[in-house]
Amino acid sequence: MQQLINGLSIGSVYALVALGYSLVFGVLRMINFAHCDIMMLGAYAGYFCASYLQLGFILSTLWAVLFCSAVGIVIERWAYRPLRGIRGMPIMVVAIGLSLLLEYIVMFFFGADVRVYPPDFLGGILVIGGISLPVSRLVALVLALFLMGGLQFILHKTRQGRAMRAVADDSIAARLCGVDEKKIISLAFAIGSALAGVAGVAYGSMYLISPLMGTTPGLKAFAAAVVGGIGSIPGALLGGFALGLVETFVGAVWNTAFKDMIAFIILIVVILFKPGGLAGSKVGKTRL
Amino acid sequence: MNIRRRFKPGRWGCWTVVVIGGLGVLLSRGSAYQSQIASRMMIAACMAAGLDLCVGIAGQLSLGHAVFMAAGAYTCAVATASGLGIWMSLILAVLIGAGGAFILGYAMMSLRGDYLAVATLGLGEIVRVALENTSSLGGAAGFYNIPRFTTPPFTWLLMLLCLVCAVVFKQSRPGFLASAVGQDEEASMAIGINTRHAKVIALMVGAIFTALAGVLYSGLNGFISPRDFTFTRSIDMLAAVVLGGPGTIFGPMLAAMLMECFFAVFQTLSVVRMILYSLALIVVTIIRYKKWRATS
Amino acid sequence: MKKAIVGMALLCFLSLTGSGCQKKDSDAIALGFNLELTGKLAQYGQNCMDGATLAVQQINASGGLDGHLIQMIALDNRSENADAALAALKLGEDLGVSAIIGPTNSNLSRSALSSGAQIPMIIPSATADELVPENAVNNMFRVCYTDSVQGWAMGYYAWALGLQRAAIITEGSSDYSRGISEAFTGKFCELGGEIVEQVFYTTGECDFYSLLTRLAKQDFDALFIPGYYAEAGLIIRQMNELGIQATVLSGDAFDSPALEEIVGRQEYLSNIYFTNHYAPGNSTAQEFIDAFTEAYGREPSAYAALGYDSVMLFADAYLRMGSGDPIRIHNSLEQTEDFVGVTGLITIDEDHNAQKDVQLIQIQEGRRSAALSVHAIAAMNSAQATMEMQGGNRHAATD
Repeated sequence: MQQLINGLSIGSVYALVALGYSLVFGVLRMINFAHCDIMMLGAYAGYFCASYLQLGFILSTLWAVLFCSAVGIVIERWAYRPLRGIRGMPIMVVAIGLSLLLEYIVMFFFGADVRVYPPDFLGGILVIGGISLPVSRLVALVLALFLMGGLQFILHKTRQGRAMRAVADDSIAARLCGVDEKKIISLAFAIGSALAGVAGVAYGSMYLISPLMGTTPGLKAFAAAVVGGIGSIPGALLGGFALGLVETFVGAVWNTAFKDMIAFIILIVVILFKPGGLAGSKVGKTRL
Repeated sequence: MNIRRRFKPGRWGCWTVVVIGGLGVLLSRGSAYQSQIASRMMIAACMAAGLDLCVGIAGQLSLGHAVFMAAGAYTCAVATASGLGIWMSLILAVLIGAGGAFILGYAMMSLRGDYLAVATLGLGEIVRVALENTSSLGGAAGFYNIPRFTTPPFTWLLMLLCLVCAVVFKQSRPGFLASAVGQDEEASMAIGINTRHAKVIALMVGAIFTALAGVLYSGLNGFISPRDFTFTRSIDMLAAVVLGGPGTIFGPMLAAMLMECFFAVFQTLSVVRMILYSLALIVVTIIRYKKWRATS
Repeated sequence: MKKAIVGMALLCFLSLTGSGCQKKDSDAIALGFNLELTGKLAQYGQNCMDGATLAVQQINASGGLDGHLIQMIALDNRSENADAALAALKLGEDLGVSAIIGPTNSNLSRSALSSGAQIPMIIPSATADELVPENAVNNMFRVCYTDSVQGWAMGYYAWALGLQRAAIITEGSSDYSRGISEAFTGKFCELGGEIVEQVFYTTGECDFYSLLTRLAKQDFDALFIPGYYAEAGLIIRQMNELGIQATVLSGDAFDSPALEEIVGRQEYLSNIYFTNHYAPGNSTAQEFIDAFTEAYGREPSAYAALGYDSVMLFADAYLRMGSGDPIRIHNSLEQTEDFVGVTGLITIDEDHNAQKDVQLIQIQEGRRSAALSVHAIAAMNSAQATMEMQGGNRHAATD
C-alpha cells in the first residue's frame, strides 16, 4: 500500500513535466529537449527564493513560475522560431544545445554541488495508518491534479485555449480563422514552462537539486507523455502516474537494477506498437 | 550522368580530410600526448562519417549511436582477451556492429523523426545500464588490459578506409536510394523505393564505421567502461555531423577533428568550454538552417 | 565553401601544434592536477581542488619548497575517461610537471594510469582495489586506503557493535560501491553476520521510497549504504520518514558538510557510523579544518582533506629528495614512511597503497565523534589479512 503512494507521488512529478511536453508537442509538433532543464531552472529559482530571500512556499513557487515562463518565451522566440517548418533534426540539435547551455550556465553560477531546500519549506510528515506521506509529496500530488484541471479548463473554456487546440489540430486552418499563431505558440510555451517550473519546485522540495538533475526525470517524463498519448493532456497525467507506479512496482517486486531501464523499455515498446498511447492520441498516431 | 555528379562529395573536402589526418600523424611523432589527440581526431572522424550516413544521407536522426561504438569496443575487448588477435577482433567487431544495426534497423525504422530519436536515445540508455550490470564485461568498473594497438598511422589508414567506403557508398545505388529517402520519404515510397531496406542498409554501413571507431577507441588506452558510451558521446557525434554539414561526409569528419582539437586546447577552461560548445551548436545550426530555409 | 574548409583545416593544424596554454615557470616546481572540474563528478574534483589549493597557498606563503614556489597546473578531465588519459599525457609529457595529483574517481584513475604517461600520479581518493593495468609500471601512489580495507573494517566493526542482520543498498553503477559491498559482505558473514538483502540503485536516483519499503518487509538491524553523500543522505532522510529503524553504516564517500542539509532533521542523524579519512579531535586535522573554513567559508569534506594531503605528501617527497625530477619523486614517494597527514599517518607500501588507519566515525544527534581507529598490520592489502583493534570506545559506541 505504501508502494502505491510512493508510485503516485513520483508519478505526480512525471505528470507535471509530461504536461509541458504534451502541450508543446501538440502545438508545435516538436519535442522540447530543453524542457527538463527549464524544470531544473524552476527548482533553482525556488531554491534561491527559499534560501536567500526567505520566501515561503507559495511566493517561491510563483516566482519560479514567472521565471520559467519568461525563459520559455525567450527560448521559443530566439531559438525555435527561426527554424519553424523545418523537419526534425535541426530543431532537435538546437534543443540539445539549449539543454547543455542551461545546465552549464547554472553550473557556472551555482557550482556542481547538490543543494537542498530548507527543511521547513514543506516539512512535516503525515502518518496515516502505517503509511508515511511527507507533506511535500502530498502537495506535489495535489498540485498535479489541480493544475491538470486548470489546464483542461483553460483549453476548453477560454478563447486562447480553444485557439491552442485549433493550432494543434490544423495550424493552417487555424490561421485562416484568424488565430495569431505566433502568440498562441508563445502562450503554449509559457504555460508548459510554468508547469515545468512548478514541477521543479516540487521535485526540489522532495529531494535535491543539482545542475544535471533534469535529464533523467525529463526523459522519464517524456516517456510518460508518450505512454499516455502525446499531445493529450489527460494522457500526460495518466502516463505520469502509470509510469511512476510501474517503476515503483518493478523496484519493489523485481530487480531494483531495472527500475531505471523500465521507463525506456516501456517507451520503446509503446512507440513501436501503440504510438497513440493509452489515451489514443490522434496526434501521436499521425506522427507515424 | 548528371545525377551521379551531384552526389560526388567535394574533392577539396575529401582531400582536406586526408591531408589534415596525415599532418596529424606526422606532427605527433614525438609526443605521446599529441599522438593521442591525433588518434582521437581520426576516431572521431570515423564516428562522424558513420553517423553522417545515417543522419545526413538517410535523414534518420539517431541519438543512440554510441551503442554501435560500444558494440565494437566491447567485442574487441572480449575477443582480444580470449586471445583472438587484433585483426580477427576487428573483423568480429565490425560483423557484430553490422548485425546489431540490421536488427535494430528493422525494428526501429518504421519510426519517424522525433520518435526515432527518442527511441534510439532510450536504447542507448538501456544498453549502458545493461553494461553496468553485467559483471562478465567488467560491469561499472570497465574492461581493461586490452592491448594498446591504436597508433596514429593505423587510425589514419582506417579513417581513409572509412572515407573511401563512405564516398563509394554515397555514389552507389544503395546510397542513392538512401539519399532519396532522406530528402523525402513519402515521395520515395510513392515511386516505389523500399524505404525500409534503404534506411537499414545506410544504417548498417554507418554502424560498421562506428564499430570500427569503437575498436580503435578500445585499443587507445587499453581500457573502456560503460561511462565512455553515454548519451554525451552520441551528442558529440551528432554535433559533428550538424556543424560539419550533414550528408557531405567530409564536413562531419572535419568538424569532428576540429571538435577534438577544440576540447583538447581548452581543457583548462572547464565550464566555460561547455558553455561555448553549446552556444556554438545552437548558433551554427540556426544560421545554417535559416539560410537553407530562405533558399529552399 | 572552400574558404570554410581551408579555415577549419588551418584551425585544426594550429591547435594540434600549439596545444598547451600554460607554460612551466622555470624556477617554480610544476605540480599537475588532473581533476573532474566539470561533468558528473565535478563536486568531488572541485572539493579536492580546494583542499589542494589551500595546501599550495600555505606552502608558498612560507617560502615554498627549498625556496621554490609551487606552480599549480590544473586540467579538467570533464569526468570523462578519455579526457583523464589525455590530461595525464599532457601534464606529464608536454608540460613537464613533477607529479600529477588526481583523478579522484577510480574509473578515471584507471584511465589515466593506462595512458602511458610515465610520471608519478598521486591519487587522492580513488579507493578501488585495482587501478594499475597489468604489466605496466606502477606510477600510482595512493593517499587513501582501498575499498577492501574499508569494507573489512566496517564489516568487523558492525559485528563488534553487536549487529547481526544487515541489508545493503549498493549503487549499481559505481564499482566503488560494489567493491565495498563485497568486502563488507565477506567480512561480516565470516564473523557470523547475515546479509538479509541487497538492493541496487543508479547514480543520481532521488527516490528511494520503493527500495526502502521493499526492505522494510525484512527484519534487519543494520543498513549498509556504501554510496556517495547525496544519495546516502536522501536514503537516511527517507528511511526515517518511512519509520524504518536501523543502524546506518557507510563508507568514505559519505562524509560531507552538506550531509546535514540533505538529511534535513537533526534527529535523523543518530546511530550512524562510517569509515573516514580523518577524525575530529585529531589536532592536525583540526588545524586544517580551521584553516579551510577560514579560507572558503565552509567545512572541508574528506575529498578536500585528501587533496590537501596529496599536495603535502608531494612536498614531503620533494624535500626528502631535493629535486623535482619525476623519477626522483617516484623513488622518494616509494620511501614514504609515517608521513603525518591530516588524514592520518601514512606509509606507502610495496603496492604503492597507503597504509593507514581506518577511522570510524559515529554521528549521534548530529554530532560527529571518533568511534574507533582500526589499525591494520602490514599485510592489510593482501587477501588474507587480519586486523588488530586498537583502543577505542567500543562500549560507549554500542548505545
